[in-house]
Amino acid sequence: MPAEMTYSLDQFWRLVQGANALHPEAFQAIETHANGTLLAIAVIVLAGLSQSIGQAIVLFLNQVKPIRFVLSLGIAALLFAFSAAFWMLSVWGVSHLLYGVDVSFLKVFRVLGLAYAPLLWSFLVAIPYLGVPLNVVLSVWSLLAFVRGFSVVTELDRWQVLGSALLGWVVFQIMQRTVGRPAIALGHWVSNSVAGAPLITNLRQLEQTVQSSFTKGSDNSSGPSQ
Amino acid sequence: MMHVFRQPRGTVLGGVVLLPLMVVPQLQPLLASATGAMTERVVSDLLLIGLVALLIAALLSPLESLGWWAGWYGDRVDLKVPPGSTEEPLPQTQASRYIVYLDGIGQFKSTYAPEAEQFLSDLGQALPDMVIVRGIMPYSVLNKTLVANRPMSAFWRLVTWLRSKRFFKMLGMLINIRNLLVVLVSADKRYGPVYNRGMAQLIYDSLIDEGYRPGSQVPVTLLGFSGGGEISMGAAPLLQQALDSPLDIISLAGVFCGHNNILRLGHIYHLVGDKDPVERTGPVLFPKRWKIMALSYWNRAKKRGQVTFISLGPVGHQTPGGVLDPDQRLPDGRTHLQQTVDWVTGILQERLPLVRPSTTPSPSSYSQAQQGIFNQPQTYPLDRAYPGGDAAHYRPIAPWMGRLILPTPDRRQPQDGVWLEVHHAPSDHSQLVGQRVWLTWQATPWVSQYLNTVTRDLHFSADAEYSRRQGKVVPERLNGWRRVGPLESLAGARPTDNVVVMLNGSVQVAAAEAGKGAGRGVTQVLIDQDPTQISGRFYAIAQFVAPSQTTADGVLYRIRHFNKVTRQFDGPEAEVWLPQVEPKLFGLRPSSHQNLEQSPCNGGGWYLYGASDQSGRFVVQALAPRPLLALTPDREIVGKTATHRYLKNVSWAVAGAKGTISSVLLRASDKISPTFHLGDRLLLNHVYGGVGGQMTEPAARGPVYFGHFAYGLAEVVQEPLTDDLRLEIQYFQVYTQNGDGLIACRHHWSSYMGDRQYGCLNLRPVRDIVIKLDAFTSRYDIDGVAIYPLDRLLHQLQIMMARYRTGDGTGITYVGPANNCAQDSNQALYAALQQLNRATATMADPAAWFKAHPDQVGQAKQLKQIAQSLKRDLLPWGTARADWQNHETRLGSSLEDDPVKQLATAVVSWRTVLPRVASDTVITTFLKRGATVLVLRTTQVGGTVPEIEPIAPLGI
Repeated sequence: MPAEMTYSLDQFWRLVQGANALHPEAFQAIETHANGTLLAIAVIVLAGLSQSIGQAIVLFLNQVKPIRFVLSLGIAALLFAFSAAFWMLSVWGVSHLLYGVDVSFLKVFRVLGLAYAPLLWSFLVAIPYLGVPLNVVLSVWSLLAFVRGFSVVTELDRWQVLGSALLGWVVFQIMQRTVGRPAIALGHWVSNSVAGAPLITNLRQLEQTVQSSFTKGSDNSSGPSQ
Repeated sequence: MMHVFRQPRGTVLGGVVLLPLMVVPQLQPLLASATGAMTERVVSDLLLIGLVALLIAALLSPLESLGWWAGWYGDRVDLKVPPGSTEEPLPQTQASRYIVYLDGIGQFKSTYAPEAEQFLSDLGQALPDMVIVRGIMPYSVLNKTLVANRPMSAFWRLVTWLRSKRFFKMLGMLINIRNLLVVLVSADKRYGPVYNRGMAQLIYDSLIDEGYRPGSQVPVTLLGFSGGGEISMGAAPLLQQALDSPLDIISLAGVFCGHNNILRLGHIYHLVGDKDPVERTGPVLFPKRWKIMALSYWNRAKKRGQVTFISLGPVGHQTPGGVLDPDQRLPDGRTHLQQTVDWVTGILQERLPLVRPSTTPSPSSYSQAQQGIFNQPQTYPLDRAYPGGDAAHYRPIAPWMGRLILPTPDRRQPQDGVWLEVHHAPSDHSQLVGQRVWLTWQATPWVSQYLNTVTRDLHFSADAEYSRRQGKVVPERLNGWRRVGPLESLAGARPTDNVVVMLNGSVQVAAAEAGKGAGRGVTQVLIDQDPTQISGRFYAIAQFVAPSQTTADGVLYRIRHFNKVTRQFDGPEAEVWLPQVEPKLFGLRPSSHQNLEQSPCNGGGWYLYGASDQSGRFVVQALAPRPLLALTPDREIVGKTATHRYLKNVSWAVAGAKGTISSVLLRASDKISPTFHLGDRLLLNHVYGGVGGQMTEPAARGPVYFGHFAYGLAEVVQEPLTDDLRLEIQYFQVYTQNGDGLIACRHHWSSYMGDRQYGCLNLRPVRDIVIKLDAFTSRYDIDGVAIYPLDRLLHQLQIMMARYRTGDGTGITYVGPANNCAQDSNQALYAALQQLNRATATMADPAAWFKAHPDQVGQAKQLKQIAQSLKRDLLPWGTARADWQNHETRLGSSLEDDPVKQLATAVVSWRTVLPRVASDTVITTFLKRGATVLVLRTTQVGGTVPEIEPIAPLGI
């Protein structure tokens, strides 16, 4: 229904704007919103897409072809969403164990999903030169949104929130290296299959690839090795 | 988005979204005349649209280069159309220089604005022997102009047409904005590598197209105006690598980010007017150009004097009033353009009316040492005679000795070789003494592997040039030479031919007739190992009796020779000359001839190394206390704990030890044999400490003194003057270029330790440890291959020393915490141990081998355990050190290159940062595995030097 859709979109933007401005009301609103979960998922997926566009240089440097390129962006957005969900899960678990927070995971998911709103801008990281500092700004901004959102939903003070975030991060890292390894491997497999080649994500290594092929190929000149 | 990515003509959309930008300024007068809230709304909306358009244009600006790299366009750079063209017809003869012009951000087609055209034309006339490459579009990796060959070209043609109309003049800004965004792409750490690579390729292709031959050493200059400055700096490092020729940059009011690695380039000239607002944005907007970023490439280049700033006086940026303005005049009557042409031609013809940085090196300890005539080989005439004709009491240091002489470039040979002025030869070749022979290599598999690994083209980096000016002794005579081999780098290590060596291993002599090339009619002497630097030609064994004559130049000393029959110092008396040595840079004379007869070591006698001067006096160039090298320890310590305690705590006790030597034998258990045998070849480990006291050396003035670490070879030989067994020691010094003139090469004890001018004996506390472990010195036959772990180590060290001498082609090696003497020497040791490990692990039939060599099984296991300990304790990065495995990688860069990583590596492998601790670790490991160890300590031994005290290197 067009009218409903407009209404939802309007709601969506209002919530995103509120979260970007770090208004507690926005986080309270999504907690109780009828379509809260869906909205949170939308924010996360779109933030993931935005981020993968902002960092599309990696795909370019890996010489990914156009169709695979677009698919890779989509896959990256989905993987981003999954990883965000697991990260929230570990933060939620930590806060529950550490501070006895008794809030359902769904609520936490909604609120923390909305806290990803600042990352909707992360496509701007692709701007030459200015994009790099912008990336830092956006990261700090989304952390602030996280702190605000999490304290709204759990009523913890900001230090407890930061403590949960930090420990949650540690747990998340440990999980990635232990029980999460098959999932990570699956993620890599999916992104590599979609990209059509094993993706090198280390920028320094990529830079070396770019430079070494010149010295090798300079005799027959013209263009990169393909 | 899909559409954009499939047809990523970035500028297509770029142009579209820039339209609002174009409209906003044009409507401003109209809007200003209107009033009310409505107008404000319109203005703010338009500004917002402009901003959004700018953002989108910025987002799309990297797409052209990224798409090019990803191969999305399919079309490679079009080579049918030459990428650039030349200003003047190509000269008939070889051009003396190629100049590549890269225009400012106003460029939209391959021809330039009239003032730039005139600039190039004037430059072409002023520099007829140089080739000016022009027409490159520096803001497109595809070398496409804005007005042709792209879908938006019609738009850009419209823009360029409109801007010629007075009312729309401002539209020219659109071109500037578009190209400025590309400058930002080049400056971006992520996109820059791709863009700059594309641009380097484009410039490379243009140069090739105009007849440039890579490797021809014809210099190339990138002449970048405004944004062309950034493009030049971005492309230059890769371009220089590909061209293999000198490359420098002239930046005309250039705007650049300062994070490109320009340190290996030649000089950079930065010409700016005092009224230039655009150039001034660079140092503000780009953090890497802020003064506080001391480690940025730009600031480091500035610090090294690699950048010359030239003020153009009251000149702005773009025309009118800019650096290329052909109409505006300066107070001296020249136009701005004329002035710029004058400067650029001045720079390129090397007649800069500038005070150029001094090219005379600062004084160094080495240059001061050269003041002493006794330090010059010419002081000692060439004849075959023994000193005083006394063959009973003097012996040559080695059968083959001589001075290395670097050939002139026209006499060089395809195979590495140098002249050897023969100072001594075995009796069957004694007719060669005093002659020059051609010293070169035998054709053995090891030699060819060695030459292939270390032969390099040598072009001084800015670092090497800078170090030379600071007084470091760098191989300046080899600068610009191609294919420099290890003998050339040894002979050319110093500015003059004063490297005196002995030859090692098997020496073959090819008669004069067989000589070829430079060696035609000249005897060739062929070797299979590096020569060893020595001091003196002959040696005697004697005690000092008393000075007989003292002058400011030195002392004539009475000595009494050792008597082989009575085994006492009651042989004939003689007089020898001990010249006063020259002071080091910090004022200290490195050795003294005062009270030598009262030295605690005089009782046991000395080895006196030297040669006869013109007057026939035997000049003592180096000393060694005889008991030190005799295999007669003062003490013996047995047991793991006791030996460990001695090594760690006692061996470096320097208080009260000044002037003394000690020799202590260590064994982990009674079962291990304490004896040495004639012909034993042993591993030597050397660590030195610092010079303290009243005349503390500069390196020891800080809170800690690190010291130095080296390996070497000790052989048990029979001394003909006494018939006793003694140690013959050579150091394999992995040492960086320094102000003392110490060369990274094999050093005889007489040169590295004993030399009165250059050596450590009288100057520093030293701990030399001789390690006897049969497992390490044995021969292993595995699958038909003979493996000698010790020789393998010595080979690796020879490679390392040769690489240090040329700085892998840069002329200088730096040493940082992560890459130093201890680290590199221990990598070599580890590699030697691993070779046997690998061979035993992969052998075809282990069971048969075990059966055939039951004794070697245990030995191989011993070495494996040592390797494991070393890896665990010293080399936490293991063999993964790519710079060791891969000969392509450059050696020791300076700490500034990657401070965080280097310090992190250093922290993890902290033991190798401290030579003493590294040595303790290695020796303990060997002791535990059954080695017999002889610890030789000397503490500032020789004449009296009251101004100094020993400093032990830092331990834990």
